[in-house]
Amino acid sequence: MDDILIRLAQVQGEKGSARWERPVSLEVPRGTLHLVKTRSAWSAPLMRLCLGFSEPATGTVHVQGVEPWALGRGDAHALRRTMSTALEPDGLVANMTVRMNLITPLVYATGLSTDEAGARADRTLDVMHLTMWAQTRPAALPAEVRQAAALARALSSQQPLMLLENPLASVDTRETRRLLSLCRAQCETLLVATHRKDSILHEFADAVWEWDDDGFRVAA
Amino acid sequence: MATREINITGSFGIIGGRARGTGTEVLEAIQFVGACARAFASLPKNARQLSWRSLYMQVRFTAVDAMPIIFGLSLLIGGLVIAQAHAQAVRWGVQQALGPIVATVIVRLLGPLFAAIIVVARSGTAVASELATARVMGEVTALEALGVDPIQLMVLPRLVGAAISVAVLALYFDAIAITGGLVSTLTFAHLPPGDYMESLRLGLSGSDVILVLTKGAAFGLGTALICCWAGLRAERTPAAIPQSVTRGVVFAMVYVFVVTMVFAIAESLWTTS
Repeated sequence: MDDILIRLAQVQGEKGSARWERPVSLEVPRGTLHLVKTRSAWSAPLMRLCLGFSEPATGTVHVQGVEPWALGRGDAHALRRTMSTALEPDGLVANMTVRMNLITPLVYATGLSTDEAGARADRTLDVMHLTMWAQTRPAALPAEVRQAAALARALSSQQPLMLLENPLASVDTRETRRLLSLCRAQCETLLVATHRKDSILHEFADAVWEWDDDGFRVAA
Repeated sequence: MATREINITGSFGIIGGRARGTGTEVLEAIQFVGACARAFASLPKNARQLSWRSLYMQVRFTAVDAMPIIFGLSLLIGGLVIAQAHAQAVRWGVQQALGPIVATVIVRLLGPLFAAIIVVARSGTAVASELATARVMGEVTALEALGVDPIQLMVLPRLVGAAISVAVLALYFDAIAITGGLVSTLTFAHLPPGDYMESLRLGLSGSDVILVLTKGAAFGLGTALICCWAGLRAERTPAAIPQSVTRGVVFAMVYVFVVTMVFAIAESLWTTS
């Protein structure tokens, strides 16, 4: 079995969009956390490519041994169900409470019964210190709670591979440490794209990458 | 002499481009029907409980909340059309034609048609804007990233809910319109209620109820499908929301009138055969 869960080779952006000046190559082995420090104009396409929403303009993208963009609708959904994902914007469903935002993907994607999903959602909200917000709709949440709720939704699926796009930008340093250590404890492999300039996430990472106009390289 | 240049090639180009664009959109909508059928077939067993809940909410908003509007409208239309029809029937000495006129115009045609138009105006716009907003705000992408099929979660309950709602509202419209006709013929034409009911009994049959329910379900299913398709194909910019609503409503209205015509042709073929 391939030990590299995510492999990008000589990728220069998405087909039909502006190309990245320098190609990106990245390998995320099982059991590691890779942190990519970049801007939103690049983190979003990186995540879209990994999730199979778009085709690479050049090079190849493999996730768990398959090219996600080449999969049919059903197979792509099946692949995404093996990952926990939190993207930017958070994408919490506006007409559902925070609790229902956790329950719904568990029922539709993971196939749990409503009772099982409810119990798991309650546990996750408790661990994330979000129980008091459980019955609140996303529009009424402060920014940092919204981000934590989106992370809780990703964590509740309990998949071994996690993709996070700028997950904790609005969260304070102490809470960021706590939440990321939760992610690290629960998920075997993580790819985190961040727009943060500080180095708070570095302590959890096995590899830190800088991605700017000078290219994609290991951080100093 | 000054000459006025007309760019015929350019004009044809624009018309051709628009026609091709519309053709592509119709093709996309047909593909969306296939995607909905596949999503329905693969709906997880445990998701049905949640789907029932959103189906209930959908029927409440689309049918129950629309009943006061339908009540007023159908009472007025029923009263006006039936009073006019009765006046003309008396003038030409064909009072016995009142029943068939009411059956054809009010029950089979206007009931389902007005129910569909009101549902498109109220719920179709709401569905298209809600789904377009979900697309713009990244909700649809986030759900897809988690492996949830947005069609299963957001579209299927709306389709079933709209089909049930328009069928029920069409029958409701007919019942209130007939009552409006009774009131107006009694008030203005002094037609005894017994005679009015007798002429209706001659003009209506059980098959009319089946036809109204079938038409209503076809209208509801089709218009909801079009509005969902228009909402979900929105681009991720705020300006796409009103564009999606306009597209959804225009396509849904065209669909309603085309289906009305198809039913009218089928009915006339059925009666002549």
